[in-house]
Amino acid sequence: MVSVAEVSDASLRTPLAEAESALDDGDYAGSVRQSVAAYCRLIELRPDMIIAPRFAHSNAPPQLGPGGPGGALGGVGLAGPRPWPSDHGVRFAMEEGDKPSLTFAKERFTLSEAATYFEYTLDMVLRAQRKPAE
Amino acid sequence: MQLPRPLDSEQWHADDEHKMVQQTLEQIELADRLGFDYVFFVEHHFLEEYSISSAPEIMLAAAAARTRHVRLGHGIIQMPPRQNHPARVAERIATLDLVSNGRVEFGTGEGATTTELAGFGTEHSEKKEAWEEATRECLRMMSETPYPGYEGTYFSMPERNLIPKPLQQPHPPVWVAAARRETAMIAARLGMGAIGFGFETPEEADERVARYYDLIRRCRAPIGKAMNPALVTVGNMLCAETDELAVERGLEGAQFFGFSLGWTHGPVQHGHDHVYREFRQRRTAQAAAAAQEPTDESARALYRAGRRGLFIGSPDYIRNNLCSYEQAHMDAVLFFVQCGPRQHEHIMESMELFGKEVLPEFVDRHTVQQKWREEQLDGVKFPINSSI
Repeated sequence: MVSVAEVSDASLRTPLAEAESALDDGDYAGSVRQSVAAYCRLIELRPDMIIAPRFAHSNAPPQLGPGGPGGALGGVGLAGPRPWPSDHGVRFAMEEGDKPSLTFAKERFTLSEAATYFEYTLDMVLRAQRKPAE
Repeated sequence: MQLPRPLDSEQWHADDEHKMVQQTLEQIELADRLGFDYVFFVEHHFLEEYSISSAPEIMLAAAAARTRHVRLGHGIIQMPPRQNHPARVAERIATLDLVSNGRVEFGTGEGATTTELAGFGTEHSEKKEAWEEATRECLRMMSETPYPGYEGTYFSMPERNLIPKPLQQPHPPVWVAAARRETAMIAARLGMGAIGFGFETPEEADERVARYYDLIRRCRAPIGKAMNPALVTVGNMLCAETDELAVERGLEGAQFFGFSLGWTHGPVQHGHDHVYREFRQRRTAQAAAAAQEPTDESARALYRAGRRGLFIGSPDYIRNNLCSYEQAHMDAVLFFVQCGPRQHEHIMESMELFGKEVLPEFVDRHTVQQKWREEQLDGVKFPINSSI
């Protein structure tokens, strides 16, 4: 089962455990801070896990194929991992020199926003663990 | 309800939208007769050629009058209050539940595209918080007498008694659109069903289903007065006697769906885009450049499956792929049947064939899934209202 206990790297497991604990206790801002800390550590160790935004017909043409095998809808592979969810209060940007940055756009978060960041980060950490570095 | 612009005309044919609406209702009637469990309608605004389903409550009310058994779902209502005030949502959901004799599924979501959100003045950065606030209060309005009023971030209102109340108590089963992987886990934490749950491998499905139900059991504060533990995935379906015929009838529509979905997330020229024309031009270019099919039989099978997904094919092909979802303990699979230029007659034939040759065995075995669910839900502390 997907869980923080499966994370083998302590420098990732510790902030994720604290993020989950804060989420369960209703400290949503605290949870987001820990998830962000874990994600920053992840992309420091594994910059190949950064996923660029996908939906923009101003750059690469949209995919035509029906996508992956896991229930994906026509053409977009919605089952696969997505970019960092920048819409929910913590913005991801690539700065000059391809340096990633995460910026807090607000101080207060809801359960669903905090859970989004926690689940996303946990998912990406476990994906990285299972996938060799490029 | 997708309506691509004709390639050779600058204008819609005069009755295209009317025809599409009537054909959709015929498809729903057929689904009810065949024993499908659910019909879900999306809600989209201003997304030309991608969807004309901007008033799903009207379509669902029409469907309610023409059907008897099939459950009628919003997949989903855009809940930020600038799109839909939660009091109006509560009133429409309750009334539809009375009209349909208690068959409503209350699917909720944030909305996604700039075209839609900005059309109503909702910021991307606000939509998740607005969804959570509005959904929670809407469920209170349906289940409290009176509703005590609320001073919130995205809406406020004084004390009122929202009427009528729905037939299903304390409220219809509540869902959230879960196109993002993490949203299914948010659904679990809030005691909601997740629509659009996806995965890439059966092993991943097992893990995520287990996590979802673990979080359901640990849920401390459901968003409503009753939980709806349920995982539903979505796929594009066209069933025909042979794989080749299914691909011939169904592939282009599936590809247009994906293409037009991607288009909606980019800059658009309202009233001036020609999405289908653009799609056809790029499709032709890609087909010309595509690699030859592998000669090895198993590699070729994988290549073909990758091109068309899991539910465009013969009854055997679709059945085999559905079995993998059944083994992963998906509660239901929703099918997109109408997309792109797919013909109404082919959709009807597809549904008939699926209903006759594939559906019955899964209906018969659903008791196995229900028993598994009972085990997963052992220990859940809150009331459950689920149609699964």
